[in-house]
Amino acid sequence: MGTSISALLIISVLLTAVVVMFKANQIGAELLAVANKSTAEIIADRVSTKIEISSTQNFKDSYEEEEKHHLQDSEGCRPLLPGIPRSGDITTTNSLDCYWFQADSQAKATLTVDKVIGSPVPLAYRTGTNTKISIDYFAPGEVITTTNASSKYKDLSNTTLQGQLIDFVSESSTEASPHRIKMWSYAGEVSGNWGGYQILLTVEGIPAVDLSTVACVTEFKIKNSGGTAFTATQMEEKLDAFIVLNTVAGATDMKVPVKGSAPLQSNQWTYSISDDNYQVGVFNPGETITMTINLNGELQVAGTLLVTLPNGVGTSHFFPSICTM
Amino acid sequence: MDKVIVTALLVIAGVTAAGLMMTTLTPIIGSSSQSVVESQKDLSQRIQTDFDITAVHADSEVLIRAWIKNVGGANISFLEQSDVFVSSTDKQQFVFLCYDDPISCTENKWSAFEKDGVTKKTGYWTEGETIQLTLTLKDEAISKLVQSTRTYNFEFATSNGVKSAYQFKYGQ
Repeated sequence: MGTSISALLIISVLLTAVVVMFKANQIGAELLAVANKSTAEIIADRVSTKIEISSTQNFKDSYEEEEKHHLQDSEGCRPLLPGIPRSGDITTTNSLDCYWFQADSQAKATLTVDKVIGSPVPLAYRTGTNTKISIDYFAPGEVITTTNASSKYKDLSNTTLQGQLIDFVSESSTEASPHRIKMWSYAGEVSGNWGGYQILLTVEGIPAVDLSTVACVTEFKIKNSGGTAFTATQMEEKLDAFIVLNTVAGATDMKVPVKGSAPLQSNQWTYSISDDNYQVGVFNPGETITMTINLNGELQVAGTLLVTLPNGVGTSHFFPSICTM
Repeated sequence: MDKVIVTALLVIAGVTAAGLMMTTLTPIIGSSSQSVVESQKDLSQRIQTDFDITAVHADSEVLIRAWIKNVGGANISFLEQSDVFVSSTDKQQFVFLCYDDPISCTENKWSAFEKDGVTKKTGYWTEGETIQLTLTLKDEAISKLVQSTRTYNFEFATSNGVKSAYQFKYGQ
């Protein structure tokens, strides 16, 4: 009888042990399953996240200012810097654009002109066989006229999309009397000659001018091109923006602006969602954020914006400089 | 009579043996089941721990700032027990940094701040939160950074062993 009781007690203890261990393993397995599921969801969330950054760039006032270097000039001229392309449109209301630049008599300068097809001038105006864009060069001291007056020129006729005026400089310019060019249409003001152009000045041996000297960014556009949505709280508290400023050659400075609200103080950023009709405040797929950053007091130099979303996915965008507010 | 005595003795012996077994086994079962749960809990915590080194910038040859985001599914605790290393990829330099809280840690040290870079980081490092680590290196050739020519690895490991590295250059 004693043996039986003992055996029963031992068996019950062993059974209890088995049950307890089984339960412990079950709890552990559940914990692991939850962790794995959560991690898998986070990874899937990150994989489906994608953003694209672009920026709205403005030129500084000094770069857009027109200046007449000669009393008889029919039009004022704007600066053209080596390595920085200029764009414009020749239309009935704007029949010519004038630009000036500095170069000495030995400079081997090249002007490259591209026709811009389509917008903002309707494509229909650029398909005719008479489509023409002309570039005329005026040496220092020569007067800018609306008529055909230059001996150094290049016409982009018919279907020619690109042309170059090469090594055309023969005398040195001064600050008061620079080299100048006129963008117009030699063939006259007819709709077939309307259209856009882009012109680029390059001078052999002279590096391109740093874009940050003439251009700055007013705002950044961040498009949610992935499949993940972010709540307003996440965006407010967990979106990171970093700015790397290229202060001098071979040196950088890192700025970490914090989230603020309008009117922004220095070293703050804020954002708004464009056309935020669906789930207001939520950064949904397909929506675009406009981000403004106040870096007043910092050097206006080129740099890189790094944006990291609440789930850690990020991307970067180069900018020429950030405009002061 | 003898049989009764023998039976009684056997009953006493059996019950005593069973009692002894119960008192011995019960705590063992308890602790081993608890350790199973604890180890699985630690493992699940480790699975859910993940972070992303967002940016690293060398402000000078002896001062580095790093921004790290908690992108896992769990809060991270015991931040001060994390390990931080800086090493050059050519293996010429290797620096282990200590957490700057103990007075004994005076050189090659690191400290943690909230994203604003001002408020000292305390408590849990929550999900989605970005912290800033400030690393101060000793001003000696073996520790301080060399500008432009050398590439460095910033390595960070949490107290539960999850680690990540980020390459950077001083001046870029």
